[in-house]
Amino acid sequence: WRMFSLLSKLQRCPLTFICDDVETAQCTTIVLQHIASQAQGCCFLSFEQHCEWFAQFHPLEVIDMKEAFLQGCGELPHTCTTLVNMVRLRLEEYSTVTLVIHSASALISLFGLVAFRTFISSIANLSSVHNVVCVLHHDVHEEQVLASLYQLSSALVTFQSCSSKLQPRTEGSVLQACTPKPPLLPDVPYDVSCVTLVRRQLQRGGKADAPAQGPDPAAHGLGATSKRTYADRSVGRLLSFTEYFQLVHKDDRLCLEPIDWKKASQASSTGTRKAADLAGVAAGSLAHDIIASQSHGTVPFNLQLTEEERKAKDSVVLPYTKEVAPSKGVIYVDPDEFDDDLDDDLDI
Amino acid sequence: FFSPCTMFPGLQTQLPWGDSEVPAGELLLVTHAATEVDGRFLLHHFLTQGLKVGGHAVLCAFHHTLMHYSSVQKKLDVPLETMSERLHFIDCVTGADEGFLYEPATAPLAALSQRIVRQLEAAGPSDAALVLVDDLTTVCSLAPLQEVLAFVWGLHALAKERGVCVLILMGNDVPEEAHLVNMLRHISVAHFDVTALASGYSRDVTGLASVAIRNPVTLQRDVKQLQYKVLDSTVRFGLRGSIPQ
Repeated sequence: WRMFSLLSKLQRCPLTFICDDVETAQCTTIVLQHIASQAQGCCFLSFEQHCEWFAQFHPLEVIDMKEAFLQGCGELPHTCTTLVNMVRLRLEEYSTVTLVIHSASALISLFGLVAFRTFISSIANLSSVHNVVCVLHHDVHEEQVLASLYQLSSALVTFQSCSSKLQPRTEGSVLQACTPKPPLLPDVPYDVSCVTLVRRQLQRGGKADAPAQGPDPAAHGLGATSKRTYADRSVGRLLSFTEYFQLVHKDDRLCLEPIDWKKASQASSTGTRKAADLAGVAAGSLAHDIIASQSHGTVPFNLQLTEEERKAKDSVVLPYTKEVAPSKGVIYVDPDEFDDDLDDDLDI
Repeated sequence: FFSPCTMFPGLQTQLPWGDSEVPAGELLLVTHAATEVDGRFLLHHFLTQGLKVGGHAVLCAFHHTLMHYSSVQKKLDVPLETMSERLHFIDCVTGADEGFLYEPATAPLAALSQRIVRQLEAAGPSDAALVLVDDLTTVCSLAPLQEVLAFVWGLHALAKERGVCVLILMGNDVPEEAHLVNMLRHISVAHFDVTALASGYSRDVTGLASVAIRNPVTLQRDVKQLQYKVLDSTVRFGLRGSIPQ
């Protein structure tokens, strides 16, 4: 599955945004558990939650940023430089960590977008930081701010609830690329839609180079200019995948269960047939009760059928009892000319 | 020593924390469509609960004076005078009795935050310290958005770091403040949304109260729809579709 495949290779993305809203905050928790389990070491910058909340991810370090704002008692006493120094001091003993900011929305709402970009660039250039993951609440910011942030990231995962109203977006914009495509079967229920957005990166010699230390996110972001050094039109192309999940409880944990469209379509057709059979049984039971009561003289009207009427009734073929011819539909998969290897799309 | 709060039992049974406590270290959000319905009865519920369990409360009133809150509490049969030593009222409407009047240069919101912290420190350690802001929509009309955000995040840090329960009342019918409301929903453990009946006036039901409780570990929200009826001396709650008893 695309989203979880990306999360397994997140070390190759200098800057990743995990975007959620109020209805899908639990999806971010699940994603962070997955990231923490895959990363070599995970450190969290805490702006919103108790520090104890991060214990479920077994982090190397939790840096509490809330105390800085409490000391200022509502002011903004510290510039981003001071915050960067706080992070540097706490992380200097580690060689390579994945830094998770929870949440970037808090930083942006307090310091503004420009200061946030400066903060991210400074953080990414720390020697011990291998890659940065930011949790972003996309229902808290204006569209222009979201578009600017999405351009900055090298990978993007956006969750939306099934009940969310999709906003109309400008054609061709990054925000429009984050809009989930309609599901294959509209009648199949789902809880959450997820759009994964990555930029196909240049490969040298068939293998991806290890990212340099302290990469500039802007050079590798979704908004970066594609470099067509090679005659490969796919380089720099934005790849967008839409998936649908159900939230289920497994082993006392909340999990994202991807929807199997094949099983869902089979269940849909079987369910339709079962519903028709049940309706026929119910109608037959009702007729039996009426005739039984009439034979006892309790019903003042006649429901008995003559022989001719019975023959005519038996010869009627009801619509739902008609046999349905097996479907002869065939699905042809026509991969794109540059998409020979399905996993090649995830080579970041 | 202090009896559990039974002010609105129909509401209290829907909340995961017990009768004899307020959720320490958490932020509660109450929103209402201010032009159609008033959700301040919830503020009185939590204020009474916080004071009855022996805690201290700091009430920052931007909308009403102390006389209003006292008269409402009298009607609810829980007079404020009996608990006045543990209630710290900051009059932000008239500035009377060492209140607070916002001025961008001389009295910014940061000064109010510092005063709240000093009040709580002077009151001493308490398991049920409560800070109430009535209401944030009025604050947004006075101060610029950036200053309001800093004020909110300061209260949030106060809740998390000092174990204080913070309750914020806000209108949800101002489009320019929709993003601020969403941000508050993200950082609050419980969101009470009070709305009027869509079908209009009903003799038995005043309005709807949607109660969204967030799981502290998974962050999943559990939403319940309640109906409420405002009476002379109490507010009755019931499940949606039933007459509040």
